[in-house]
Amino acid sequence: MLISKKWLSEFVKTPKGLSDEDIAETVTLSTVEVESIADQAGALENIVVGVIESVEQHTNADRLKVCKVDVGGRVTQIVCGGSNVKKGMKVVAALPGARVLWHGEGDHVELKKTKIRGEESEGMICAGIEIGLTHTNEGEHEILDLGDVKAKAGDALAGALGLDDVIFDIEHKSLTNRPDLMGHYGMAREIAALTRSPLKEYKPAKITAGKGITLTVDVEDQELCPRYMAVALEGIVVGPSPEWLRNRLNACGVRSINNVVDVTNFVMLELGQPMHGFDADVLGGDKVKIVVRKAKAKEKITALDAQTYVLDSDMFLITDGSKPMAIAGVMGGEDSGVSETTTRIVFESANFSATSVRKTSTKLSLRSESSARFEKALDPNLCELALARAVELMKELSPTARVCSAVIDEKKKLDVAKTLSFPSELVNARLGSSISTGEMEDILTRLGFGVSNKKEIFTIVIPTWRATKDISIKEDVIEEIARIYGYDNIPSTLPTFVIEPPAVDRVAVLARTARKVLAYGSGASEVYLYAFVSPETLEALGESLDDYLKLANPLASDRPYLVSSLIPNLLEAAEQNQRSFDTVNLFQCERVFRKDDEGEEPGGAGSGSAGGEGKNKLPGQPRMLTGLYTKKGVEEPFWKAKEMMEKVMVVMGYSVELRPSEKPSPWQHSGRQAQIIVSGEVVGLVSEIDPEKTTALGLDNRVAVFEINLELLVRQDEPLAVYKAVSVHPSVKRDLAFVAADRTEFADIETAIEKAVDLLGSIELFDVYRGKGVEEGHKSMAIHLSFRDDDRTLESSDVDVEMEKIRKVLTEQFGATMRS
Amino acid sequence: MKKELDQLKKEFLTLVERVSDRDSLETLHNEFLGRKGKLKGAMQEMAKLADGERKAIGKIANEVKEAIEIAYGGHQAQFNKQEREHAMGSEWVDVTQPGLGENSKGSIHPVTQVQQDLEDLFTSMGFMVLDGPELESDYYNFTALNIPPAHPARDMQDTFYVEGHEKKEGDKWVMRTQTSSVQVRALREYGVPIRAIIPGRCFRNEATDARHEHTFHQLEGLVVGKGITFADMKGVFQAVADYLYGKGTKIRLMPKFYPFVEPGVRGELECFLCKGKGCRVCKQSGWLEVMPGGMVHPNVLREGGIDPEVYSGFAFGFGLTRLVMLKYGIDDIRHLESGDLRFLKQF
Repeated sequence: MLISKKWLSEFVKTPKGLSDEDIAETVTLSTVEVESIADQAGALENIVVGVIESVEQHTNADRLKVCKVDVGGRVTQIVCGGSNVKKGMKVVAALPGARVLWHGEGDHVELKKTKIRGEESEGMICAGIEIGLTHTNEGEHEILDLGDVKAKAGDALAGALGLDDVIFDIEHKSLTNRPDLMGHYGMAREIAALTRSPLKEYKPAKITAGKGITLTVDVEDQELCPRYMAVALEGIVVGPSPEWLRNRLNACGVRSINNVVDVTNFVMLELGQPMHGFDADVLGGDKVKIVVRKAKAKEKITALDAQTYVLDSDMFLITDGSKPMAIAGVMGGEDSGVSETTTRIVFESANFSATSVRKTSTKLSLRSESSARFEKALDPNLCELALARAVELMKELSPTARVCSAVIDEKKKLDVAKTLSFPSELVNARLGSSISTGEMEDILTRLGFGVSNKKEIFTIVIPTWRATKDISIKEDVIEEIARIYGYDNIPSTLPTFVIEPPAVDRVAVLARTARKVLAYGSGASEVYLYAFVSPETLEALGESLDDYLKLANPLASDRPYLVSSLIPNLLEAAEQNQRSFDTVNLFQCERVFRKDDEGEEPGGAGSGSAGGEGKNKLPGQPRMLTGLYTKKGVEEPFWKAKEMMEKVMVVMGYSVELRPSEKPSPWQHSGRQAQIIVSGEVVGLVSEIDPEKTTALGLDNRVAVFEINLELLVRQDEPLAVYKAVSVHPSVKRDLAFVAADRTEFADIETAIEKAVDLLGSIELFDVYRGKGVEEGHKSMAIHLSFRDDDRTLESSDVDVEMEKIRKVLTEQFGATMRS
Repeated sequence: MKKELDQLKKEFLTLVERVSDRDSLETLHNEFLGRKGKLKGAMQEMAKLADGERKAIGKIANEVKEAIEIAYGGHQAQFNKQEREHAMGSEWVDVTQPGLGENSKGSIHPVTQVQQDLEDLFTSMGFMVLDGPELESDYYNFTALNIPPAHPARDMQDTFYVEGHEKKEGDKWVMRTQTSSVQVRALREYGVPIRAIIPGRCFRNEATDARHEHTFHQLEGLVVGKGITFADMKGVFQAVADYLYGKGTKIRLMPKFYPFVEPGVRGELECFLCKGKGCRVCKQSGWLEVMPGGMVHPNVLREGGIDPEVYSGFAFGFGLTRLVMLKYGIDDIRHLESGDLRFLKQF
């Protein structure tokens, strides 16, 4: 929001020596953020009014002209591309040192004396937009014509245009709870409080009722419209506003329309109270009956922006008794607006429910200066001031204007002043400060609060302009004291707490370990990828879209689904990276979203208990650790993925067992996939991707992944090493090689041998071979075995007995043939 | 005889000094001490001597032999040394050569790194590190935070809704717009006193460009207990500033409206790059706005089952993504969620 310093200074006289920067900083530190300060004159330095003495075609450029320009006391040459430049024209001459925006875009550029296609050019003749004037009327490729401006060659442009104001730009969001600051008077009041400066009372002349139009107002729902004031005026001559008024509006970024509309806008910018001016003759002429009611379903109105809006029965309307004339608090209707032929008007100064205006403007996607103010909840007392000010100003601008109706004021009983009461010591208790009660009282008084202090109990009367929503509880008042006292002046301490070790999130601990192992042990890179995935990718992987949660309002329609596994987006990332890297080794640790799993409770109002009984639980959102490996020329990436997973598991302290899943997902390579089993529970998988699917996704090489559900993993017992006494008796080592059917699983062999043999110390597979010398469909396996008895040293004959048992197991249970 | 022996010794010691390679050393050694060597010859002569004399000469002969052996050993050791040195020289490796093959270093995402760094700071101060659902109920993301339906503050954040749960009041599901969504969950689960941080991923429905991402990371903090003050919040902010950018880094707090805090603050750090002078990073202001927070609103405490008349506290929500970008000077936020190894391998 733009605030004019000149306008402010009509209401508040700030102490001498307080610079614009000081004011901005004070306001920023204590109230709302001032984003920038624009010194209009400063921005127009070295820019003067010029008068064109001659125009000649540039010999080297069709579109350029070489102009001799009188810039006051001397004539200089400027090359100009403006299509409308002509002799005698009064123009904006930006001289060397001036800062301009080329074609109104980009950053400011400081002009220098230069040569353009061989012709000397001392500066630039500008369009309005090139010097930051947004409401000028020249066409494309045209320069600004200053014909209407009373100024002579050489006059500083800032002075000539009355642009000698300083504009503070207030960050919009910081006004969310301060509707009282959405006008100059409110801002002046705040600055007066901050700088201990006197504030001029806002006191427009009282309206004297007149005769001519019978004006009645009927408000059907006073909850939605707590106050509606209106008055009619006749003898209006619609025309342009005077320059001072146009400059004010301009300074605040509002375009001048005509004197009536400008008055309503001016009052809004001054007081923060939106107003509207109707053409009284459209509303009903001598008898105007305004009915404020809810819209009928499908009722239509064409608003001042020339758009037609279809309304619903929640929306609030201003009507002439039958037809809609305005959308309450949002925008006036096109038909009832003031036109050049209007002579009688009705001013509306009303207060509408914040919620209702907000809902309406949201539903219609129609935002206006008016709705932006109403939806923040305005003080109904403003209506009266605003209406009086508007009438006063209208009479000034159009001297024949006179009030020709009664002053209507339909209102529900306005609330008596709201009060709050609390012990004064609470302020310092909450702030950790030591502000005296005297200072607290002073601060509140400056801000317009009523304060009484009886036995250290404050009773605070909230000023009406703060009472609508902003200040309602004692904490709000404490904030007022804190911010004016200065956040900087409050000491800095550290909270005291009972020493207690914090609860630990085991998943986070595991994830941290896993990241280190994968990155620094396996050379993988951690990626962050979106929670959203495209239907194309899911379908390419053979997934059913029905199994996925979907966004109702995705940003772009290309990624509307929520990931239920990290694998699809990791595959996309691998595809992107394979162009630059032969090896792509990635991992991600993040939540996924499972449509059919139950997660946390959704909560419910009030109770402080878990709440939300009987409501849908949120979907399950387990944290997953997922890795991917692919490398040019590697045909069995499965092994690397498995190794990465095992390394992580070892460091986290879990021992794992792998078993092929009987029901692999469609995207899995059915022959190269396994479930990860910890303590009998499946906690994840290792798998290659079906090569057909990777090809469909544009991947050049075989890809393997692993996935660990960390939430399931932490449910397993905390891993603990088991100590067994180190045997004093030596172990005996033997090797054994045998041929078994290709699909024989080593884990089965291991289990069977462990079961059959009593003296087994360890078993280790050290070679697997297929090919020459081994029957087709078979593989040769070689194992190291060690035998041990904790009570004695084994004899060779003891081991022979055990080896015989093993051979028997292998031949009988696995149909293996011994190779040695 | 003695003379001859001394002569032999002298001769060897002279000759051995001239030896330049191992072979000639061996030959020389053989010539003197070999089976048919000169000393052997001399010893044979010795047999002819009388007992007494033989004993004395024998002693001398042994001394001579020992001296020759020592000299021989010394030279031999020298040749060994030379050869070892030569061999090691020829086994030169390029120490600057990186490890070849698979296990080149991977990387941990910069956001994770900064997050873990802050987690360590806060756990050292006794904070819990919590987590919460990213697909969150409208209740925890908004209503519980004093943002009832139709509150204008809902416009401050463009929200992703989940299909099938976007309309019905009380059953709306959103992608959490802020980690503050975990505040009331944490209060309900752990009660007071509580010190917790909640780092995590958040979502806003806004178009992406170099400075905007619909997916970003925050680090929420929550401290509630008896007698927790605004000054305590300042102290914790200062501790973070000191930790991140060095002791004595200036901070300043200003009012800002957030519905779930009262008073609300906008916390700024003195720009670490220019130390407050104004530069490109801080957009010439000298300050970086990275610490929003405030005293927890009584309504939020009530939703958490905490009596605001007895307990008070503060909350904050650091922009983790922003801290990361500032730390490394990353100019395009989109890199962070891109999965691009060319970016990630730099960390």
